[in-house]
Amino acid sequence: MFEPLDPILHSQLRLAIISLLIGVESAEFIYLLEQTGSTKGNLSIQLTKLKDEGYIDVKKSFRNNYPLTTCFITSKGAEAFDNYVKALSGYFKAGSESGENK
Amino acid sequence: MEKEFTNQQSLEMIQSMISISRQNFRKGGFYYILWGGLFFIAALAQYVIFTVFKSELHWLTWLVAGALAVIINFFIMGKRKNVPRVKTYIDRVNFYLWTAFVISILFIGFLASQQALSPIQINPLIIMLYGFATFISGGMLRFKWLIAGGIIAWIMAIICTFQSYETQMLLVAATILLSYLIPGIILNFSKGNNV
Repeated sequence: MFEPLDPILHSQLRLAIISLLIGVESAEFIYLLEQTGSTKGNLSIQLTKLKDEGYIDVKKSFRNNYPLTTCFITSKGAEAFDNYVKALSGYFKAGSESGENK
Repeated sequence: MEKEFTNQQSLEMIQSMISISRQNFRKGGFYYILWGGLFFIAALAQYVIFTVFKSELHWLTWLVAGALAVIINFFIMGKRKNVPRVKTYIDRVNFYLWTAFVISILFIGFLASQQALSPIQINPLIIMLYGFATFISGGMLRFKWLIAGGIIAWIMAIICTFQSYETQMLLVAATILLSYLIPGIILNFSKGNNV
């Protein structure tokens, strides 16, 4: 029986954001924008979805009079990512086993 | 961008984003060259001032090198103010590690000022502490040249114990060169993950 993939993470941009944040303490909005190659609007929408789900924390502040958005992964987000990777590896494992049986 | 994507694409996405995070660990090579280079020069200058000019103020070279390193460091960080930043856990631990190192060095200086340590004991203790910080830094960065640097520093600390004060100064310079400056140059110019 396959574990279902978390629909919040099974989306290209949201998974990219979480994968970037999992390895760091914090990342600025512009950094996420550059690394994911997304548009500002889309990135904002996906960050809000992840925040509403409790997967990330978003801190708004200012630097040199410009607004600065910094994102952090939460423990809930890290756990969700871990479960997602486990579920995903289940699919690949099942795929390779069925390949071997052929 | 809510389009469906396959499990294979999902796996590739995770791998590519995680490798971007890893690259951030490897951008600090310049700072190793800056600090290592200045302190290497400071150690050699101290030797020259002590042996050739016989000045008692030979230790001032360290103060000058430290001040220069801090000024240049802040100047470069200031110039990169608008570069989007990402903060890694390693950045934070490294900050605390090297701050603890500087505080420990100041404590050794305090002991020396109280005549609780003889001058000949100072350099081996500093090199030992320096090896401690370098070894941990290398381990966190998974950078084998810096881990080896820490071990070299400990060996140098033992050798240093049996040398004269002047020779110790040269050994300090050699330690910085082998265990910090050269690994920094390798880190700066390497692109691979497994250096």
